[in-house]
Amino acid sequence: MRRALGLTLAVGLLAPLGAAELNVSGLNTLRYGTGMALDEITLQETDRRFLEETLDLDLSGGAFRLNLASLAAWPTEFPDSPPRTGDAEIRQLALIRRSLEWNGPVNVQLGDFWTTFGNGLALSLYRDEALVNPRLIGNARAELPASWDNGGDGVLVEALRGDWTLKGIWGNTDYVGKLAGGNVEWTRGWGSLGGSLVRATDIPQNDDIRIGAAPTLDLVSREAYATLRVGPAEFSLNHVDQHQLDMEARNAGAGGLATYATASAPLQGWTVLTEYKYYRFARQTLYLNSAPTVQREIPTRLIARSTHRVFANEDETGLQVDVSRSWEGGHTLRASAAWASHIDGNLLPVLEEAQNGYQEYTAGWLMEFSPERHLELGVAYTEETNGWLPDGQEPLSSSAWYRRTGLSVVLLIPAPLVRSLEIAAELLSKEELTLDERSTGLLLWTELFPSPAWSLNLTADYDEHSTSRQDWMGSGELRTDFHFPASVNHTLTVFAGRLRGGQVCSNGNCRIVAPFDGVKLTLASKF
Amino acid sequence: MLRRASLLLTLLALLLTAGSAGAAETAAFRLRDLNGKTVDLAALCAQGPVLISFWATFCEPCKREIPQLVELVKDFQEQKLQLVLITVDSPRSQKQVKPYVTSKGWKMPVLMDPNGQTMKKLKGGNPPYTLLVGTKGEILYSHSGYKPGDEQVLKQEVDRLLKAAQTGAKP
Repeated sequence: MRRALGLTLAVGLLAPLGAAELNVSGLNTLRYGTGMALDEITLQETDRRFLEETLDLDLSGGAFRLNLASLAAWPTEFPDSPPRTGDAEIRQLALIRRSLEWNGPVNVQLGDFWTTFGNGLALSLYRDEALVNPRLIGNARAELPASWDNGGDGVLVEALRGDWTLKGIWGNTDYVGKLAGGNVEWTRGWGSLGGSLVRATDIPQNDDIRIGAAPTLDLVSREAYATLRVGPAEFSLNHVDQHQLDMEARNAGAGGLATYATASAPLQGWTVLTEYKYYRFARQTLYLNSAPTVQREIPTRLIARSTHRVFANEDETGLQVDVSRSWEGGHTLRASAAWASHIDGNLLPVLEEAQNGYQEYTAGWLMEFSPERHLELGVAYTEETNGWLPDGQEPLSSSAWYRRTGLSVVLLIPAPLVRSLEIAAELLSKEELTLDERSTGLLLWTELFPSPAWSLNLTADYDEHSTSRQDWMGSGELRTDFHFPASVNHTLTVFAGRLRGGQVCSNGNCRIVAPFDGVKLTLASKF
Repeated sequence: MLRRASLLLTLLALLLTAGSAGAAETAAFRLRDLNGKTVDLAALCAQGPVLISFWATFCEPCKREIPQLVELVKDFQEQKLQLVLITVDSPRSQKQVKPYVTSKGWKMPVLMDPNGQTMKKLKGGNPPYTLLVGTKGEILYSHSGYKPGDEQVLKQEVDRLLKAAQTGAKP
């Protein structure tokens, strides 16, 4: 009822601005899918169909902007699955986002909001459409809660005035609970200084099985950060301290501290970036979903399926070095190295099995001969262990020790009939040293660009395990852009084939998708 | 009430996509550049039309497109067309932006839009997302993705739209 009143109020505020000044724009997305999907909980393959429509509509006039987004979804069900959180939200017509924004000397937003404080250590509320679960795959129930959208619902105030940035939030999130906080940053030519205070209360603790544990948690985070620029070099330091609001439990319960530091500088024609993290928490902190260093995407798709992640109840220290150089004629060389481990008293990573040692090395060489012709070579190596145990805890089974080596080649060339052609291949060798298991992955894909209006992608994905199986998968995706009427831009995407599933990352945020075999159609219309 | 509102919105979408003829959508934002300086789009537009590319360090098509945009803008110097890059890198990869820009020797303004909030407000799904903004902040053209050859289509569109904007004709 209150939402309806808010909507009415918002429309009422915009209406007096007059139709002549009222701009209407939006994005309408229709998705249809049919095929076999695997329920990750029951491991049951089931015929699935779904149809859904998302409308993201903007009405703007003067300094006001009203955004409304609705979802209409009709997915079929996994018959034997127990109901899980979120089901109710996807089986009905629903207003999934609404916000009213006023852009004046300050920006005030009521309703759904997303924002980042500083470098995101104290607060990073993001929404990434690339990670939105096609509801056919996993039915949105198998995904981690809000892994692609942890936005707030309340009030966001932002002001960029001269050297100052001021931000304030107050509201709720499905993921964190109630949120309130502020961020101030002072920027000068030599660098910047900033600080944040975030109070999160009623954080759900559904995974907490300790006897007598509180069902919710209240935390406060205090952050200070600074950036210093010396010529082309830049140094930054972030520190966050997080503790429970109940001070007596400060050292016994949730909370901890995080430090993140960077240094970047040009050196003999190369640019060098070094990042360091020290994230020590008694429990997983809910804000560090997109915390920097090591947990990033690796530029080979096969290894990216096993990107290193920090899991709940773990803390970690990490170091990462990236170097790159570009030469005249379109040649670019990039290399990176990253190391991480459980802290356990160490300031720097310790690459031992008992410390969850992780190491990663990547290198890429890009040769751009012209806009239509380039060659890219890449290599990546990672090693990951999971042998760390809390003090006094005996191992239940052997720990795993993974070693992965990947090679990639991408070639873009002009081609007769199809105008332009991209061919790529990736090879992944994966070893599990403890159990002496080996697997090989091969990914081949080609993309044809016969005209600026459409493209066709064909993918073949081969996987072989020493102990179990060989498996080929193939898929094709056709994408076409057209205008009808002239003011509306449509993009139609048709997918057919089998997807292996696994980890999907976008902008540093990752989620797991279930395997899928079938057909999907997506029509996105921007007006 | 909400169900009715949603149904209404769905029907509205079908109507709007069948024949959208509203006033041109406008873009307005203030963002920090890589050195922390505040950049107002309105101030840039006052100097001439702006070609905006939302990109990210993890986005390979973006990195292929930007050199083409640099070349494209050179062809429209008379019209004072400006190129502005807006990175949507999340905090996880944001520190990689400046070294990347430095290594490429890019001199155009590079603004920061952490987690792509401004891009989403402008109805961009994923990078690369390209916008041509007129001198009054009106969005003349938008395009998602990059395929080899897109720069030629974009050049034709920019040429047509800037001529139309100058003459006051409807694009």
